[in-house]
Amino acid sequence: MKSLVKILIISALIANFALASQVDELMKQGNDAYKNGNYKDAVTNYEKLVHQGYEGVSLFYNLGNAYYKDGKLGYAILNYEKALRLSPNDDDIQHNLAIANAKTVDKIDTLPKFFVFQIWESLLSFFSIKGWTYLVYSLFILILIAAGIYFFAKGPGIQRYSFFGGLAILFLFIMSVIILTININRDQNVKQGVIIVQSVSAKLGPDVNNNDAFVIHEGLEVRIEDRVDNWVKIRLNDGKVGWLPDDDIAQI
Amino acid sequence: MIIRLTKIFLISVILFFGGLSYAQSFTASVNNATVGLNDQFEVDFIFNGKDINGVRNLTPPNFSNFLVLTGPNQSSSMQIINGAVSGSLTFSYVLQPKSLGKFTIGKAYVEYNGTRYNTSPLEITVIKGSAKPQQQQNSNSISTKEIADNLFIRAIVDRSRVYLGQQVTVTYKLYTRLNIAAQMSISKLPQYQGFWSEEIETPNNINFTTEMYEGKQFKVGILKKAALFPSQTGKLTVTPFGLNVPVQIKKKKTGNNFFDDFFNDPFGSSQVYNYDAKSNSVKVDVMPLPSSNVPKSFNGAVGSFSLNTDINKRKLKTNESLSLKVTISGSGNLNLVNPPEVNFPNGFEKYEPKTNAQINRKGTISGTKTTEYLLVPRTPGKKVIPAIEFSYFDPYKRSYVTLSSKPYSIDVEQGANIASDDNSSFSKEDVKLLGEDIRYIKTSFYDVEKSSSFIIYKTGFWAAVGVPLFAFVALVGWKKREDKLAGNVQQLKFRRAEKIAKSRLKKAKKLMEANNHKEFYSEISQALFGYLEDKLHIPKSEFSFERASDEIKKKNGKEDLIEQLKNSIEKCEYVRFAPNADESSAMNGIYTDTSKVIIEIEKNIFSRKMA
Repeated sequence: MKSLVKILIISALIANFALASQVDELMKQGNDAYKNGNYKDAVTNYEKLVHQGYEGVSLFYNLGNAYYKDGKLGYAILNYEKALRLSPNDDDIQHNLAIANAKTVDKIDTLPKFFVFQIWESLLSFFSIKGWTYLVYSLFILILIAAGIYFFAKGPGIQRYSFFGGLAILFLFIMSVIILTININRDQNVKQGVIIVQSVSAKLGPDVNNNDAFVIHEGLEVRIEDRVDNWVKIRLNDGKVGWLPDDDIAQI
Repeated sequence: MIIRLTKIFLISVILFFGGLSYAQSFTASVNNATVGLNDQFEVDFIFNGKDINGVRNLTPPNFSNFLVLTGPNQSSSMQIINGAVSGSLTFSYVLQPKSLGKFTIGKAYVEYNGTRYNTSPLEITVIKGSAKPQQQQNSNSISTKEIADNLFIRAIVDRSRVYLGQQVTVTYKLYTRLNIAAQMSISKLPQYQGFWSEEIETPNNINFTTEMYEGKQFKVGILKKAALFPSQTGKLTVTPFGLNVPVQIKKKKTGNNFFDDFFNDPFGSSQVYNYDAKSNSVKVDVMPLPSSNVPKSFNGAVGSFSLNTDINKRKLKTNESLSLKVTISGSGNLNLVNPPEVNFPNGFEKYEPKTNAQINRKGTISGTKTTEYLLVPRTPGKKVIPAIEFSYFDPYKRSYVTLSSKPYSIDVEQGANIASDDNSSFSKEDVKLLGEDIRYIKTSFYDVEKSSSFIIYKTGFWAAVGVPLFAFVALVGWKKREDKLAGNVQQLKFRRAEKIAKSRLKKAKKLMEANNHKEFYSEISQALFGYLEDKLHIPKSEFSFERASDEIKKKNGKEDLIEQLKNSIEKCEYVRFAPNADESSAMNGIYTDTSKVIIEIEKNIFSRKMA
């Protein structure tokens, strides 16, 4: 019985190690290919990892770079956005995404938002969902510690400090929980997509025979609102609504 | 009386003067009050009376402003009516004015039977030239009516009841039985109000044909033809067409003036007369087009048409050009026909279409109208130019007809240059960014891991939340209980008093066995006093026997118990401060007493409470 458990643990470790080495190998191959200018090979290597269900800022960022160099603006933006979701404040991703966006054909004006909302939005994306989760957990532990000090401390001075400190941490904790909830909710309900074909006419309805609503080009980020068979309903930043075949769009 | 006399007088006066005035009169007259400077005129002074022989001494007025050509010329006339003789004597002068202006011919006087009669003065106006009326020429020419019977213009329409936009042809024909002497000239053109007009070509020279009209033979020539397309409904009128025709007319013989005829026209006696001929005005009744079943693509075409489309390429690359020709041909109001609308698919840049019309203006207006669309596809893909629809109203069938072309599908391939001209749409920041290259890849990849759902969906996370939380709650709970106990020291002491007393007595017993009496007594007294302090809630500093006995009394302690206690305490004190020889037996006694007292107190006072 004991030996069986041992075997299992060892085999799991080996498998894990093997997987890890495979990741390393593919990433290394991809990076080397990128370094040598074989962007298509780099894309193939990185995509293999993505297909196997791996994720990571460096993986998506490098894949975006490789697609960009290969001239596939739509996929490049798609992967930059994926990377940005994992690490919203990464300067490299933001920079490359801005360059890729500058190359897109469609310049859709977004209505300027009220500054309060702008602050709110930047607050929401200050951390990734993972980051917010960690923050919430840290604040939770801090609250426990503050409460512990309050209950076990002898002097009334320390008790007072720990009480108000605990209140401040509690406020931050509640705010973080709200933001985390909104972020998770958004991630699950609001789907963003990127156009991956050079140009496509959005139709007025989910059918080829419908009239054209507008034409959009590669790299444009749109909101995905609905799905009928293999057609998706998209909404542009300026409020226009149209339907696209789902082959023409990739969900972030 | 007086009234009657007055009446008679008045009547006789009227009769008398009336008879007189009728009897003689002297008046002046002029044959023309307005005369030209070079004209002669006659002034007459006429005397009427019974006996003109009695007229004497005519005094004429002063004719200083006029030249007297003849006069006075005398003439007289006599008449007898019913035996009454009356006569008139006229003195006449023929005068010529000397200068322009208004002049007065003064009074003329005459004597008759001793009475002087005078005329009233005359006003003469002298004007420049001659005031004589022109001599009439018509005496020897044909009348206008007569010409109108023999020369006229008829305006003829082929239909008088048409649909809106249907062609009406109006023809102006000249009918004549007279010779036209020279070039005719148009004096008035008709106005086609409410119509779109299109001139129909007619030969420049009028070809006359012979035609019978109202039983007479006429020479007939077509002057003008126009195709009219009504642009509004209701009764519309075309105003007459006016033509100035110089006609040759035979002169009527005015007498046997052989020389006149001979010298004026050796080939026949005729003259040229400018006759202004006018046609009749034409009324056309315009019906509106039927309002039912109007096709969507109908935009005013009436007639009979056909639709033809042509495309020059079916396969091309982006940014190359493509031309689509839409041809409408047929008869009708072609000029008013707009090219049909084409819904080009997205991704095509279209330029202003070129329209070319070839219209045949002979009889009914017909021809072709070609619209050429120049298209430049900007994005690749399979594009479909939808079917083009064109509708017209056929006035003969009295219904709408819709024509439709076939849709064209076009393959657009990606050309060499992708949206090169789109740079203009880039903003300044974009242009700055376009010059930059992306940053290099990240070389460390320790963050690559199997993607997983959010941490909060994992049990580990909730365990990590729950375990500290439970630990904390448990810890706080334990602390609370501790605090609660620690918060009531008296209670604690009360509860522990017996225990402490017991342990002290035990210790004292050991000390007794070891014969350490000093320590023994201190232990015994501490056991007793400590017990009482704790049990009776008396602070150590305030403890005394009196206080303790008071407290016991309050708690309904019996007198003998207090007595026992008193004994014990006194013994203890005594032995402590005055040690004697009989120590071991005393120690034993005190130990037993103290134990007894404590047990008694415990039993009698606190046992109920403890239970």
